[in-house]
Amino acid sequence: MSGDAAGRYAFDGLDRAIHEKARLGIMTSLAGHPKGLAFSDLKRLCDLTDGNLNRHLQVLQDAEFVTVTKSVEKNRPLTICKLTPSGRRRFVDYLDVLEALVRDAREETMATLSPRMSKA
Amino acid sequence: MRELDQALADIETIRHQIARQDHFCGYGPATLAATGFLAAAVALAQSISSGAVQNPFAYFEAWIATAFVSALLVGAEAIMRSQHLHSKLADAKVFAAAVDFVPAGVAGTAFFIALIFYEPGAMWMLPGVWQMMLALGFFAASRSLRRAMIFVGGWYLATGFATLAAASASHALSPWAMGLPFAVGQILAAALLRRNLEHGDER
Repeated sequence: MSGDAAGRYAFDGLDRAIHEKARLGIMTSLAGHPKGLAFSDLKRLCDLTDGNLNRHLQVLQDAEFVTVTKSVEKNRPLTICKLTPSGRRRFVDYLDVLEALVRDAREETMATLSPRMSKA
Repeated sequence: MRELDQALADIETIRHQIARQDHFCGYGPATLAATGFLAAAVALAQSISSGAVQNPFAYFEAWIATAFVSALLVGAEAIMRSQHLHSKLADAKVFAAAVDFVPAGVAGTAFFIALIFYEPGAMWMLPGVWQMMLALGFFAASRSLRRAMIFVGGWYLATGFATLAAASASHALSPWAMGLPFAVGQILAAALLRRNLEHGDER
């Protein structure tokens, strides 16, 4: 325990704007679609209501992780949501921290389980 | 524990998904062009020394060695450039790029082995078939590389067909049946990559 560096488990890279279930889903969906996704498709993929999706998109827009572009196509309004380059970078950084966190948790679990298993 | 393993697998899947959607910038135009010049040099050397053409094994040994050296050069540069340009997604991107070409490479090798063991008399087909296999690789890679790579795939498909047609009557092995298509194809790929780097994304 004393060997661990200070802030070892601070996980500062877990950005609050991304680290919310719905927003994590939105970022993951958009990360797989570099040309962006229509609002209706994003709503379906993340299983969110119009209001919820708008609220979460606003948070991501404020953090400049996502852009929302409104246009008209075939006389119908079309809203396209897209990751910004900085949003993509932050999401990749976020994944790294998340992976480190899960690996730590896994190692801790293994360390806890192994003495019990050897006793058994 | 199972949940944690599943979480790690999910993170890896997301990372690979992101890597596949972005362009792979690991291939360098200079190295691709160098492999084209290498193909031309091998063809020239074989056409000067007539023995290589009369001995199919010497002919294919030289071309397998050329393919191996080319793959090594392109692969090593791809890893180094990817580490520099893609940083955290480097491994996932190199993996995604390799996956595009691996099926074509495996199929080409399997076809070569099948001919050696079961139909050595049909070895004349190999240059044309290899070009067609490489065409499949470029078509598959056009998503992770640039859309313009479809032209390189088209080139190899056309030369593969032409090489098979030309060799069908005599069943002869010509150094330029390998050298010319690969030299032009690799230099074309290098030129298209360079054009994209200079003029930005055309996707």
